[in-house]
Amino acid sequence: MTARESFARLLLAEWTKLRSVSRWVITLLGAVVLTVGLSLLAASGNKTNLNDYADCSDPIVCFVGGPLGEPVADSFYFVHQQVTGDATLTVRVASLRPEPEQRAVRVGSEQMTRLADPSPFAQPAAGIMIKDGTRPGSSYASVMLTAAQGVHMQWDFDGDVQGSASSGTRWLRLVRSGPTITGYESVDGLAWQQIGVATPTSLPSTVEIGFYVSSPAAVYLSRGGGGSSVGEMLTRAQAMFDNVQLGSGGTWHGDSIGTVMSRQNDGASGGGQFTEANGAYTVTGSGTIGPKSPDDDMVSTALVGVIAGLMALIAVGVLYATSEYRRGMIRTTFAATPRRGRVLAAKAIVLGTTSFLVGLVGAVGSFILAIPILREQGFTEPAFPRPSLMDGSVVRALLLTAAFMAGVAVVGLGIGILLRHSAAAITITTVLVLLPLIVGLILPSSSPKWLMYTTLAGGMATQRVKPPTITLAEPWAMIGPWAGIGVVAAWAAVALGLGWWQLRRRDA
Amino acid sequence: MEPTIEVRELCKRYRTTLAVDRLSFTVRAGEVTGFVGPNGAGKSTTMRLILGLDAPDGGQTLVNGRPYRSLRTPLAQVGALLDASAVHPGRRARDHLLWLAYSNGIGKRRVSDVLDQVGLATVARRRAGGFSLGMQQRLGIAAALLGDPPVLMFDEPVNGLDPDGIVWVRGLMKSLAAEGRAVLVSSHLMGELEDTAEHLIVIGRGRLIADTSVDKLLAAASKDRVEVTTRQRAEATTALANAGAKVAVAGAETVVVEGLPGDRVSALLTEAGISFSELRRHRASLEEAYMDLTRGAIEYAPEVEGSAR
Repeated sequence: MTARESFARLLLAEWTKLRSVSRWVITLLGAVVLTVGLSLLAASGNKTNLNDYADCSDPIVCFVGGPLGEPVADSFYFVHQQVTGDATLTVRVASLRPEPEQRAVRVGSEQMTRLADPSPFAQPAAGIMIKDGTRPGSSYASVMLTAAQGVHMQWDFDGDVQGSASSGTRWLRLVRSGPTITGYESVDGLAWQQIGVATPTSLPSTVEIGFYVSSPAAVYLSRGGGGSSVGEMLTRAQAMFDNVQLGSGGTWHGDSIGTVMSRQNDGASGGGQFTEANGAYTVTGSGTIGPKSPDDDMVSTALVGVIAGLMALIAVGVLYATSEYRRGMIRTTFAATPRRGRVLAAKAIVLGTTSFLVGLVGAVGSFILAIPILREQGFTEPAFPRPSLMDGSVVRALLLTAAFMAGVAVVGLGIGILLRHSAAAITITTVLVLLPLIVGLILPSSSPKWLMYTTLAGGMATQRVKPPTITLAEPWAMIGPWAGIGVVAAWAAVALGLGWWQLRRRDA
Repeated sequence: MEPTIEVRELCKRYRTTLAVDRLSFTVRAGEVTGFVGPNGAGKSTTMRLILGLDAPDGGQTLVNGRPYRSLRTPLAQVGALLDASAVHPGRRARDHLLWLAYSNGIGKRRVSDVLDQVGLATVARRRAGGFSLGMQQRLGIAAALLGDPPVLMFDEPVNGLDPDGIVWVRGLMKSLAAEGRAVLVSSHLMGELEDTAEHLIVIGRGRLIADTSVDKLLAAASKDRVEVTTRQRAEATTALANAGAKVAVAGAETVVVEGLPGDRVSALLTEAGISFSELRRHRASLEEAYMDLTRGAIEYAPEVEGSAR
């Protein structure tokens, strides 16, 4: 007989151990069922009304579809006229006065604090624009002076180029040549500097051209105690434009874009207004032009059942370790393989891989089954574009969610080796996941972020496809998915490291 | 090289108790070595130390000349049965042997072979949790045989076996030794080893008491005693005691005489007119010899016999 030892054979041995206890196999299948089951249950109880305002009767919660169908905000006060073919518009922004900020407001008994948004799309701005008509969400390109972030050129709700850092008076120019638009700025109207070149998705030969003012609503947040409330208040900015030069000399019209209310009020309030005196135009406007997606994450919502599947995986992970100690089986194991570190590594790899696959099946199953339910309950365009298994962010969320589940199972294994006691190890691992979630729901504002960065609960962040936000009740939305999986990987490494140290140090 | 287990100056301390105290012995190939001592004498601890499961506080153990922990496919070198119940109750017998085989690169065929050999082939697909103690012992023995190793260690292998099983285990041990393997079998009952072991290592309180062949041990324990069967037990006792012998009652009609040669006993009894039906050299049982030895150990006066052979 030829007896050969190799790590691959050790993996096969540990896999045989795992698959040959039918109770564990049933629990692993149960993890899939629990994950998908809870996801479906949660999805069928989850409704959203965010699309009820798609007519922009309330501009603050109005989501419109952008040129590529993505949800955007598109409201501002536009002084414009129609031009056909190539055109050049030059203006001087003489001044821009944003509304003073209120740091906090009190609504009823609730103290709400201002949420700063550093995005260049979320700044009060005065600028010039070429746009495919006045329909909210249509293609555009613009250059603008912002109140705090200098000059920018932007287009189609996601293109952004930083110009100078100037905050004072500035000359701006847009030149259309066929499908391309070039933005310029100048201190004096004589020496011009190019900012950028854009090719908006859809720019017909006849477009609206003009100058505008926008001022994003101030967002106020109160979260903690298990919930989160977000309030938004309209703000207005006022700007003075002069030296307006456009090749053709048509009549300027003022329109509040993306605001039903202002049209009803004839432009006098709500959206904004403009007045002209000796070639100088004073424009007041409010609104935002840029990407605007609800913080609610449809994919994360569809994967909520992961937390149930996780409990089953923790049980298997812990028992896979502690069962070795229950009857002294660990002696048989170490008599067969005296190199204990290799045994632990093989166990971790077998358990991790199995849990990853179980997690992946659970996550993909949840996604496929729960998304259609959510779409029946309001999670539709424009606020919620249909997530697809082909989206990079969805693939990332599903793979990282599976990795999160695998990581937690491996933490269970490590703690099981350390404690040699099933009930204690299962309890501790479960608490490490669940307690920070509960505490994080209760703790106010962004303080739970640190819990997410330090405990296994942070792994829940892997489910999100959207950027981190502190506006949601669920604390795991506060950190990004890579940070989340990093926290879990660190825990797994520490648990295995301590387990390895104990295995070497202690008698079997 | 010849398969062996070597234990040298081995020490193991658990908190305040010294479980193994400078223990040295060698298990040789081709014979069954009994490893005997009262419960708690340190037999199982010594076996765990040999298998590298516990770390010694002093000394070392070698298997086939190498420390166990340095072996890469130990199952092919040493087969061990430590605790027959150390099987996951939810795992089928065959799967238990299968993972062991995989871990040391042993083929699947061998699993079926050892299941046949220990008589578990028909229950191979049953869960070990439903096994009787005897079936568990057989499964443990199958695991020890899996790698066809030249060295075997069995800790109390007949525990829980029925008489058929005991006979089978004894036969197996002897045949394994006859194949040239080194076989170490522990027991707390000397009688269990009576017909099996050829060599004995007796320990008490972690220390070596005797390392000797069974024949020598029995001869020494028998001393120069003579066993007399007579209907006149009382008279015989008095007559022999008066002549300076130590006389012990061994049965209703039997006394054991120590301190007088057989012909002298015969002469004395005839002289006193005491009739006896039988007079023979007393042969001590292994149990008796063991009791003599371990009594000493319990009183902290180990009488160590050199391993002369």
